[in-house]
Amino acid sequence: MNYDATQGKSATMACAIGSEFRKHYRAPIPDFAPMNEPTLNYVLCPGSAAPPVAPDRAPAPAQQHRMAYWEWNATGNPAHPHVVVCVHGLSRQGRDFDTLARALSAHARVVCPDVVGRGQSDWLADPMGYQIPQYAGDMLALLAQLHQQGAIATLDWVGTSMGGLIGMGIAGQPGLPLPVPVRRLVLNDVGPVIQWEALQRIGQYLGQLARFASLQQAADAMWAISTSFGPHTPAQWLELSRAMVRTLPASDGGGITLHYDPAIAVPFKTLTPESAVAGEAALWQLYDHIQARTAVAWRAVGSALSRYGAGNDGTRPPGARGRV
Amino acid sequence: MTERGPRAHVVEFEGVGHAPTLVAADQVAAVTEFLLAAEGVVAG
Repeated sequence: MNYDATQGKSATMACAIGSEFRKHYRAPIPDFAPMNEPTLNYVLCPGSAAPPVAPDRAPAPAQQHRMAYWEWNATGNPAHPHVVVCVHGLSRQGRDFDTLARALSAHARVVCPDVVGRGQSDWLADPMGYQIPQYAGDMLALLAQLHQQGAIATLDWVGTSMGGLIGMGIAGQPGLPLPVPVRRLVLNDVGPVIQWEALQRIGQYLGQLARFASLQQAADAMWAISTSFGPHTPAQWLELSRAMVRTLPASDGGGITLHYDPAIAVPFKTLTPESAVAGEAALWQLYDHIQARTAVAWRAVGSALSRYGAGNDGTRPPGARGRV
Repeated sequence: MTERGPRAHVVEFEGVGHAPTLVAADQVAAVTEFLLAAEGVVAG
C-alpha cells in the first residue's frame, strides 16, 4: 500500500509516456488517451509550515507552506480555460472527488486541493491558522497559479461542507483578486446556518487519530462515524478511504493513521455558542453577496429529526424552511 | 437560501445524510449537469 505522492507522480509519468507514444503513431491509442488520472501539484502559500512529519519530505520555504492539489485534465489542452475547483470537508482530502473529477475531466481542468493540514499538504506551525480565512487565502494563491499556467475564462466551485464554506468566502466577497468571478457554485450539504450541537459532536472525534493495522481496519473505523454519507459499496468506501491514511514510520511503531494534522481541532475547540452565532451572521452576509449561479445539494426529505438534528457537520441543511 | 442571495437551486438525494460523497452515479450526474449546462439552461 502506498499513500504518498507516488500515485500522482506515476500518473504524470504515464501521461508523458503517452504523449511521446502518440508522436509516433497517428491512430489514437485507447490505452493512452485520454489521460484520466490526476497529477499532484503544489502551490506556495503565506504562513509558516510545521516541520514535516514524513522523514523524506523537505521542509517548506521560510514563512510559507505548500498546499497540494490534484489536477485532472483529459481535455487535451493543459491550459483549458474552464477550471472547476472541488474542495473537501473538514477532516477529508482532495481524493474524495476522484469519481466526480474523472467525470468532469473531459470538459475542464478539475482541481482538487488538499486543504492545508490534510492529505499531501504541509501542516501549519500555528494551529490557529486552521480556519476559513487562511483556507480561502490559500485558494486565492492556487487560483493565481492556475491562471498563470493558463488564463481562466470560466471558474466553477464544488464545495462539500467546509469546502462549501470556503467557496462562500471566495464567491461572496466582492473585490477579491480572483482571475474571474465564480460562475457556478455547488454547496454540498452546507449553508450559512451553523448548528451548535453538530459542532460539538464533531469536536468529540476530530483530532483523535488512532493507529490502525490495515487500510481496511481504518476504513471500517471511518465508516462507523460516516454512515450518514449514505449507501456505498465496500469497494467504493475502501477507495474513498485510501487517501485518508498515511503510513507511520517503523521507528514509531509502524501501522497507519489518519492523514490530517490533529491540530486542525485546536481552533475548532475554541468555538462557543456566541461565536457560532456571530459566524452565522457573517456567513449570511457572504451568501447574500454571491453572484454565482448556486446549487445546494442535500438529503431528500426525511424525518424532521434527520433533517435538522444529529448527523450534521456544523450546518443545518441549506434551505431549511423558515430560516431563509 | 432559496429566497435570498443567489436564490440557490436545490438538488436532493435519497437516503443520504451529511454529506453526499458525490460518488453515486445520480449525484455525479446532478453535479456535472449543473456545471456543464449551457448558459440559460440551468435551473435556479
